[in-house]
This record gives sequence, C-alpha cells and structure tokens, in this order.
Amino acid sequence: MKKRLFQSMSLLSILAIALTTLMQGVFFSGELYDAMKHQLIHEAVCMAEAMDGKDSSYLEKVSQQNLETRITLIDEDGTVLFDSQVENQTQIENHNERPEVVEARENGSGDDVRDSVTVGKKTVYYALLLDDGQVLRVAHPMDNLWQNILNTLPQVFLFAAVLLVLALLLVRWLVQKIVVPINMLDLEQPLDTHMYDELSPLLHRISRQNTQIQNQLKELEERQQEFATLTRNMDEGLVIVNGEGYILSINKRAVEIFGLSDDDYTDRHILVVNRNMELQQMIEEGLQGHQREMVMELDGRSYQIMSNPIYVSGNDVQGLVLLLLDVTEKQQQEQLRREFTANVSHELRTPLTAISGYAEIMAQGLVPAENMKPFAEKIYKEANRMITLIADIIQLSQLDENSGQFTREPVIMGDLLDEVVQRLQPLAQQKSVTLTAYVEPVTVPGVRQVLQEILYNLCENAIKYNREGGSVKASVVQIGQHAVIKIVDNGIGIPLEEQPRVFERFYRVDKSHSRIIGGTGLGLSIVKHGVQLHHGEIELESQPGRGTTVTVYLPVAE
Amino acid sequence: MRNKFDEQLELLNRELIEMGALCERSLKIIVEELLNGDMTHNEEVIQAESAIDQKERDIEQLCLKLLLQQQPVARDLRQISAALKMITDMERIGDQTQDIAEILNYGTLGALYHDHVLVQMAKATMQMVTSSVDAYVRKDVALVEEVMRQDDEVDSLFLREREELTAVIAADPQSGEMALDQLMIAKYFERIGDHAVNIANWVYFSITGNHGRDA
Repeated sequence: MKKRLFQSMSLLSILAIALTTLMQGVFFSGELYDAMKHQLIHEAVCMAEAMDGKDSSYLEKVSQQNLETRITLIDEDGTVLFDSQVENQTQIENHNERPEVVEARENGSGDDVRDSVTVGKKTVYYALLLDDGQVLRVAHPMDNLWQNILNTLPQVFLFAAVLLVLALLLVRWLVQKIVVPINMLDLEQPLDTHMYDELSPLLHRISRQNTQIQNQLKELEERQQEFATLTRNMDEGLVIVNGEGYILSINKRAVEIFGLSDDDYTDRHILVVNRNMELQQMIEEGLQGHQREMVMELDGRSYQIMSNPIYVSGNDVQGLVLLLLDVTEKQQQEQLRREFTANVSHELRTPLTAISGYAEIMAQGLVPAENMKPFAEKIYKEANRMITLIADIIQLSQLDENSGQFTREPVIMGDLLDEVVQRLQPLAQQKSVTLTAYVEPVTVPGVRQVLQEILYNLCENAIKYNREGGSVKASVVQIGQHAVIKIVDNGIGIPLEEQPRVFERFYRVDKSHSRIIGGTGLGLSIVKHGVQLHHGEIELESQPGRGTTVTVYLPVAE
Repeated sequence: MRNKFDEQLELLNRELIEMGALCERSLKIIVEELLNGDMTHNEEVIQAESAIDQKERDIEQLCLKLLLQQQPVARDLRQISAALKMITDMERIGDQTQDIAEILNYGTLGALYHDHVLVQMAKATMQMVTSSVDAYVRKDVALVEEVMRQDDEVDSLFLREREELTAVIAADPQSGEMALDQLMIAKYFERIGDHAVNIANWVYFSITGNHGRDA
C-alpha cells in the first residue's frame, strides 16, 4: 500500500512539475519577447538620437561595449554600412529586402523575429528609419523556448527531489495514520471501534462473520463433546485411524483393552498401540478398502475386532474405524454349548448302542429262551436310562429358556422336603446311609416341580456319593428373608479343584465310578438353574473324605 | 527437508516395531509348542527367520541412508545408532528362535517336553522380549528396569533347569540325548533373554543418552 501510494504520489508531483515548467516556459517566452522588443526600441531610439548625422564610428564605439546587441546601419540602397558582428561589410548581401527594413522605410520603424541569415540564430530585429534615409537596425538574439526550459532544469530537478522526499514522508505519515488504527482494530468487537465511515461496511462484515464463526465453533465443540462423551462411555473399544495408519481418536475402553498406560495416543501410529501382525495386516487391508473381522486374544480375553474403511469423498479410503468387542463370555458359552452337544450325543449313543446290540443278538436267535429275561432286563434298563436322560435334558432346556411356562404358587418347603426324604428312604437303606430331616414350615413362592427336583437331586447326590454307614442331614429353616435348605453329608466329598466345575453339564468328578452309580451328570446343573429361576443362591462346601455341605438360599417373598 | 527426515525417522520407528513383532510372534509360537505340543506352526518360525533377516537389512540400509543424507545430531543420532545396534540383537533372537524350532522339529524331547521349568523360562523370555520392544515403543525407562529384573529371573531358571537335567541324566543315562537337547533350548532362551537386555539398554541409551547398567 505504501509503495503504491508513494508511486502514484510521486508520479503526480513529477507530472505537476513538468507541466508547470512547460507552461512557465511558454508563458515567459512571450513576456521575454515583449521585454526584449521594448529594450531594442529604446536602444535604437537612443542610438539614433546620439548618432544624429555622425558616421558609423559612433556605432563602432557603442558596439564595443555591447556585444550582445547587433547593430547594423543600412544605406538607402540597402548596402550595409556597418555591422557590429560582421567584420567584412562588403560581403553582406543587400538588406533592403529584410521585412523590418521594408517596414521601417514605409512606417518609420519596423520589427521582426526570425532566424538570422547572417548570424544564424533566432533573432529579434528592430529597424528605425533615420532622417538621412539610412536605416538603423538593432537586433538581439533570442534564446528559444527549450533553451529557456533547459536553463531552469537544475532548479527544477532540485525542486522535484525535494518534493519527492516530501511525498515519501507524507505517504509514510498518511499510511501510518490510515493503517495503524486498522491494525489496532479489535476483531472481536469490530463495531465498538469508530474510525472511518468508509470502513464501516467492512466492520459490519467482520462482525457478521465473527458471529457466524462463533456459532460454528460452538456447534463443532458441542458435537465434539457429544462424540467424546459417547465414545468415552461406550463399552466397546473404538479406534479411528487415518489413511496412513495414524490414530485420530481412541476411546478409553480401547486404551484399556490394549493394556496401555493413560497417555494421549492421538497422532501416534497404530503400531505403537499394538503390534500384533494379524491386526496390522487387517489394518493394511482395511486401508485398501476391505472390510475385515478377526478375533484377537489380549491378556487372556478374546476380542472381536471389526474394521471399516472410511470414505469421505470419492473412492479413496481416508481412514479406518476399528471396533473392539469383548467376546470372551460369548466364546466361552459357545465352547460350553459345543461341549454340551457333544456330551449329549455321546450320552445318548451309549445306551442306544447297548440296546441295539442286545436286540441284534436276540433278533438273530442267538439267545436261548431261558436267557431271554436278563437280556430284556438289560434293554429295559438302558432304555430307562435314556428316558431319564432325555427328561433331564428337556427339563434343563426348559430352565435354560426360563420361559413363563412354570406356574408359580406358594410351596411349603418343609412338606416338600419330608416328601422327598420319604421317597429316598429306600435308596438310603440300600446304601446303608441314615437319612434324617429337620424341617420348619417355610413357604416359598415358586414352581413346585422345580423345587422338588432341586431337593431330590441334592439328597440323591448326598446318598449316592456317600460311604457305608454314612449320614445325610437335610434341613429347611427360615433365616431372615430366606428359606435356607442345607444338605449335609459325611461322604466322599469333592476335591477342591473340581468344586467349581460340578455345576457344569455332564461334569462328573469321578469318571470311572459314574457307570456304577448311574445318573446323567445333569443333576447339579438342573439344581443350579432351578435355584436361579427362583432368584436364589447356592453354596457348595466340601472337603475330600470329610463330606459335603450344600446350602441353598431361596427368598421367601417375591 | 526437515519434514522428510521426520517422515523417515517415523518409518524407521515403524520398521523396528514390526521387526520386534516378528521376533515376538516366533517366540510365542515356540512357547505354545512347549505348552501344548502343537507343532503346526513350527514351519512358520523357521520361515520367519528369513523375514527377520530381510527386515534387518532394510532397517540397516535406512539407517545408513539417514546418517549419510541427513547427518542427524543429538537425540536423532542416538535413535538411529541405537536402532542399528538393536536390529543386530533382534536378528540374533530370530536366529535362536529358529534354532529352538529346529530342535523341537526332531521330536527327540519326548517325556521331558512338558518340563515346567523350561516352559516357565520360555514364558519369561517371551515376556522379556515383549517388555523390551514395549520399552522402545513407549519410550519407557521403567520397562527397561523391568527387563533387567526379568533377566535375573531367567538366569536363575536356567541354573535350575541345568541342575534338574543333571539329576535326570544321573538317574537315567538313556535320556542323555533328550536332556542335552533340552539344555540347548534352555541355553537359547537364556541367550534370547540377554539380547532382550541389550535391546532394553539401547532403548535406555536412545532415551537418556547414557548407558544403563550392564551396558
């Protein structure tokens, strides 16, 4: 701005100076001519007066003092009698034809301006007719216009230089004066500063833009906040990386999953976070635009990782969203389900193979008639085993579904336990185990059939996994808001490391004995699910060789 | 120019992490093999060795290029020279892991296979390598100390293994070959641990500018 202002300013001044000089020259040259003519008339008249009949010797004397003025004396016939600037008068041509001379002969005096033939300069002439018919001519060379201007040039230049310096200072001062307030402008509150009216549209625009920017910023901040809150509180890990694999955003959960210290991981490469090669490969493929999924083990837990490429515009992948889900439980359940299916098929096949085997032998007539009965008994026994097994599985799956098929009613637990103990007395006698019950009349809202199953299974187990002469004490009492059912035996007990697994389906502590003792391996599993159905809790306490205590807590109110 | 240099440094950083990850994966496979005898990935370990060698050459070239063209100073120079040293150790880890894989491939270990001291050693060594690479990744001096501590553990485990194997040979001279193989494996683990310590030391150097203990 300063430069351009200075340029135009100096151009203007130089133009002004040039024009002035020119005008001055033109104007002054006219003035100069008039002044010179007057001077010449004066000189001529003076000289004519002084000469008065004398010859040219006077003129010679005069001309010696005044060299600049050319004095010529012309005779009547035009011959030059004297010329102050030409040595040899005889060579000068006839002067009678000169305009000023002609004019002088007619009017007594005459003047002219022209280039002199004799001297070769622009000259002002004045001719005066003397009394004796001679003509006295005085001439003075005149500098031309350009010469005039040229003469004043040094001064003009000096003047221009001064002017330029002045212009520079002025421009600097002006710019300072204009620009400084603009630079000092408070952009936050542009309308509060009153400077020039010319600026007010700009200030208004700035102010409008300010509000716009502030609104957008606020909106952006709110969205950012929203996003941050969302990602911070989500249960899944979320990582967003850019096209080069650098992290744009990583939420708290993801930091936890990757087992990182609390640090800012934005702008770090994803390799820094985890260098698992499968993950790196997935990210690489993701950045090429492929959607991928994988399960990764981290710190003993399984995480499902999903990657989705981000397209902002066009077909170029701008980044990647990684979502990490904890699937440990899911995988464990999957594992359990798989095991269960395998176990079920195995458990079902064993009796079926036996049945089919015996039946085959019988069908082929290989069994003598008297042996038919034990064979049939074996088939019957295996078939019964299968029926129990299937009944157990059905019950378990019903409990699994936890559906509303069960009708709840108030059940008097004391009576139920008495009933169960009565039913199991024969089994207890068979195993020489004393089975006793202590009951209080506690009422529990629940499903009679399931509760009965729980008590039956627990008591049966206590009898079956006992030793000769052992005892089983079953009791139901009310403690606070809970019906507490306790089945205490002093049987073989369960080894410590097996205890957490006894509630698993088909799990048996002693695999080799199971065939003799019988059972499906589903009993305790049914108990556990039954207790859960009644929102109760089950505790197992056991010492190998000393006995087992199972305690069930059932809430007495809904 | 500076920008390009930073980019190349970052590339070096990533390549180093990747090389560390390669070593870790090989070691992990070995540990799995020792734990449950699953030999399906054994071949991968042997192949990973050449990948690790290739990485070493790549990184070496990158380092030399950086040194020549950028003439780094101070911290950058430390990082690059430390990288040059670290890749040598990582390459040795790759070699020794491959050696273990080859011994396991003979299948002569038999009953001694599930020896728990050896498994413990394997796990501890893997932890050391992981910690040393982590120390590099996170520029964490505390992890360097951790590696030193773990090295003492591995060393004492090696001595225990040696004693146990001596007892095995004394009791049953027939199992001498197996015991020797197992001792070799243990020794390899011990060496891998030492290399992890070296890596950790170079990490310490690149962060602080001076050498830690045992350097």
